[in-house]
Amino acid sequence: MSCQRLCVAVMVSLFVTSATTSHQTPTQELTLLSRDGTRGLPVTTINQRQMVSLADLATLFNLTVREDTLVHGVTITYQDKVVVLTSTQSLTSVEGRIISLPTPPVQTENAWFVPVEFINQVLSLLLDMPLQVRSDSSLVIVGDIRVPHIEVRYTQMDGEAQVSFEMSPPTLHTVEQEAGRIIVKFEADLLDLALPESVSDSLIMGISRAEQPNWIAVNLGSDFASHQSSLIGIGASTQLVVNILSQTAVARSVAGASGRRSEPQPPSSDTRADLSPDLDLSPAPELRTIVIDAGHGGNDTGTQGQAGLQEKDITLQVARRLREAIESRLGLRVVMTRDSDRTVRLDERAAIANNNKADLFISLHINSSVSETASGAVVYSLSLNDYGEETLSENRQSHTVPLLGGRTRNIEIVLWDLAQVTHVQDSALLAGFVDVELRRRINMNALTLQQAPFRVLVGANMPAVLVEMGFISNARQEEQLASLAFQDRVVQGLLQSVVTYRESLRDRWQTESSQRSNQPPAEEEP
Amino acid sequence: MTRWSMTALIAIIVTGAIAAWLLFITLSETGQDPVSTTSNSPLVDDPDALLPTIPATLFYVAEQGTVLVGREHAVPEDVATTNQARLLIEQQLLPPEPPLTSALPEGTTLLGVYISDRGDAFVDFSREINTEHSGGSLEELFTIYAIVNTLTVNLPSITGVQILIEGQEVDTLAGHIDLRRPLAQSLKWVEPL
Repeated sequence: MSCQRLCVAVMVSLFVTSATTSHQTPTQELTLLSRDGTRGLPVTTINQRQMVSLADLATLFNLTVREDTLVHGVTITYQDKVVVLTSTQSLTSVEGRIISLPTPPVQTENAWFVPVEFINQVLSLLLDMPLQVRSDSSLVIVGDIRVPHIEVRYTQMDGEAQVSFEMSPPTLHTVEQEAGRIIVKFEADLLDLALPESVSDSLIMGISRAEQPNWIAVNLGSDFASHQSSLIGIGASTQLVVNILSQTAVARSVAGASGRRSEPQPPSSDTRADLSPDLDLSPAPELRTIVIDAGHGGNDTGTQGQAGLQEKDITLQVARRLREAIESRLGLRVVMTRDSDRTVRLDERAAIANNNKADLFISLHINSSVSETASGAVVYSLSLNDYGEETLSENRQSHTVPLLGGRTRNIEIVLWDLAQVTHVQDSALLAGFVDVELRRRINMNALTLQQAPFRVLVGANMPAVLVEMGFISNARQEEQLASLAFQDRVVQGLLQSVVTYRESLRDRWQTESSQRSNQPPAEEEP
Repeated sequence: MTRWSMTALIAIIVTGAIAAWLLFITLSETGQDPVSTTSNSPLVDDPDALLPTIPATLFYVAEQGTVLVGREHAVPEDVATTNQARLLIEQQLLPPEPPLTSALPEGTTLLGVYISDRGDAFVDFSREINTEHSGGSLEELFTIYAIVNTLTVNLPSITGVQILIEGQEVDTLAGHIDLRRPLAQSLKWVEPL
């Protein structure tokens, strides 16, 4: 996997003593991660709330902070933008948006302090730059660098160990075995990493950061025999699970398998010599057909902006541009659920995708809100958890059917109008890629990467996402949505996420293929 | 009739007239009607004040428009789950205190609530829930989950909620969210307390 965009920055902890007064207690420090490196930002607890000094923020972000004694507040200037904070109220206005901070700014003997939330709520608007505060990891992510949160857990039982990597958001990765260790390489600039406290036994000697800032190393012990990895979980958090087998566990498994065969095999001194590799004839997965669904159409106008812009027109414009980009640049077949201003039922949209045996389904929509300030894109995939118990149980029926020769076989039945349920993991992965690529190009709403029971997704028998490109109820966004420049950025983001998803399919196939060739032959079904 | 008795009769009539006039003046000044004084008593005229209430969490769209918020209201109590569900939804249909806004389109009325043995509630609304809807998917999610969460949060015996319009099952409210099956509680659209 390519790691060309790696940031040279390495996460280090800097501990800087902050200024103190009788009202304040220095607590910890936030680490600012950006493409330019790592900086520390002292955090002070004032009146039981975590606050940062405006002077520190001014130095870090080139702000001009001027005290205004008349209103007992401060004026913060960045280029031609101004924010005024007063010590009596927690409301402030940034670029025409009213922001409510959890507490007003506090003036101590020698400085002004603002709550930590000021960074992502006010400063990001003032600087027009994504600023993400992760309180749990004491991090501030500055700009569009990719810093997924990876939580590593380790469990060991009966000669087998499991190392799970919970990724938020789902992140492209590879698992490689080399010289006494397994390296997990993430497609990221840095990792916001939570490692288990101490791991040391005969199977795994330790889990640690590796030489690159986006790598994690699992150092293998003397009893290690083999490993296999799989992707589980759905939603904003996806888990990579690496199962690690000891030599004794493999020997036991092989002995058990041999014992059940009709012709007993003599035990071998080298257990791994018994593992005859299967000839892998499964074809590499490939994307061939992509269905683009322009939301609404015909009598169904969708939502409408104040200037009269209609959702159905913008979704069709973007869908056509995306079709052109995918066909010309990726050479894939594109099917549109509609290519004109006509009414298409939601059932029909999923049916078009299913009948064309599409490999991906991308539905385009535009949001609206009662608030005129709501903005940003939201990416959705489907989760079965949103349905009630009855639906869950009716979709998990299995039926016993007779086979020739008197045998029977259990067949899991998936209701056709809930076809998406077998693709929820891949859909969540695709949604994660779409979110990452759109985030690089357009403003995302804090809600993004959600699961919801979207009617158009539930019947699609392939990985499917729904993208709300922006809020038409916001006058500025309405203008943006109609502009070719904005539409191009959306198209580029979606195009790139299709490319990334295709790469992830290939990576997964290669990993699974090499594992299959290293595994003992599976026991035949009776 | 003697002269004396005539004088006495006139005196009695005059005294009675003066007494009646004084009584009339007194009542006019206080502006009270002896009959209405009794009937104005809140104990008699406001039977709701005697009814017990339950604290219930209802859901509204927050000022910034991208999240629901839960607010506690006193809602009349009813031991029958179906009636309690109806009372909760009727309260949910009333406009909230600004700056919060209702997640349900204006003019929407509740037509009925039915609860199945499996704990699924079927809530039947008038057509305005569809015809007056803005059409955005986020607002559609808020309309649906304000209803689903109000019932499932306050009445734990209800595990799923399906919205009907004028007694009919519908595909969606405004073209996005699947309403063909009961939906489970989902608090991810609600601002954490």
